[in-house]
Amino acid sequence: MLKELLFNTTQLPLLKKGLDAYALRHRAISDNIANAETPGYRRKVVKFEEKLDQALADERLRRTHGSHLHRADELESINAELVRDEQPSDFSGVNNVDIDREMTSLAENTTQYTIAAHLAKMHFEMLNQSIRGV
Amino acid sequence: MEISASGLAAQRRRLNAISENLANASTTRTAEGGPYRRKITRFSEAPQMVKTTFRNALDKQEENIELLQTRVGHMEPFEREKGGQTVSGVSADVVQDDSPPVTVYDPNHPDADENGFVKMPNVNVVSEMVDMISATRAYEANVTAIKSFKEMAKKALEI
Repeated sequence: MLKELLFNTTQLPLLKKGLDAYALRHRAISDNIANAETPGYRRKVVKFEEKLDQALADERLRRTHGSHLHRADELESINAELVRDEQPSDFSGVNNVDIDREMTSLAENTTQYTIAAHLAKMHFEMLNQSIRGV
Repeated sequence: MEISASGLAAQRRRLNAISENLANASTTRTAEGGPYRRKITRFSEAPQMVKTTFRNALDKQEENIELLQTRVGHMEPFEREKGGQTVSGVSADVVQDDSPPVTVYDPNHPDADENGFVKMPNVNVVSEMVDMISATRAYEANVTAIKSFKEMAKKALEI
């Protein structure tokens, strides 16, 4: 009961999924940067946002009010997926890695991870404050 | 982290090869005979198993000894997840460029043939310099990826 109230029906499960996905995406981007000059390499991408959108859209039909919170078990099935971008267009003539795009994604992904980590931290700080009554 | 580290190592090998090419840009005698031949770095994607040293040590211990439950209070043996994580990354190997040497007319050179032609290495200094810049930039890109990872790890520890 307490676990439901404090953790599972809050933003926390969503943040957890987000952190996992961003960590995986960081790995994919690092791989693309390391292999930026490997002939015939196909870049790796992580599919997460579209899966999340889909899951939330399905869920939205069942939730009767916009302010209803997501439940942990409903989010459990959403997992970020690592796939290859098989697009044959070669920017550099060597492979389909565009280094500028990868560096931008890297910066964006790091920021997203930082925000998610910060929100999780805030959540725990708020819990802590209400427990101690400060 | 491992991935970016493999990228750093690969670019460093490439820079070493380039330095060697530049240093030997006019070497006409080598141990194998004939002029120096240019070295090129070939990159390939390298899936590899990463095992921490701790996990390695544990696995080795487990192969050597078998723990037995001699008392009721002993813990049940549990199935530990075997092996490490598979990460990709990049590996570089250095190969020789077998394109023909450049012949230069220089009759006074000690290695000139009877027609006055000297076989010079197939190293193009300008293209080596361009390659060097590109290797440096690629190295920096990998460093940025490592920096980002450190930043992320720091934030995760603050939760």
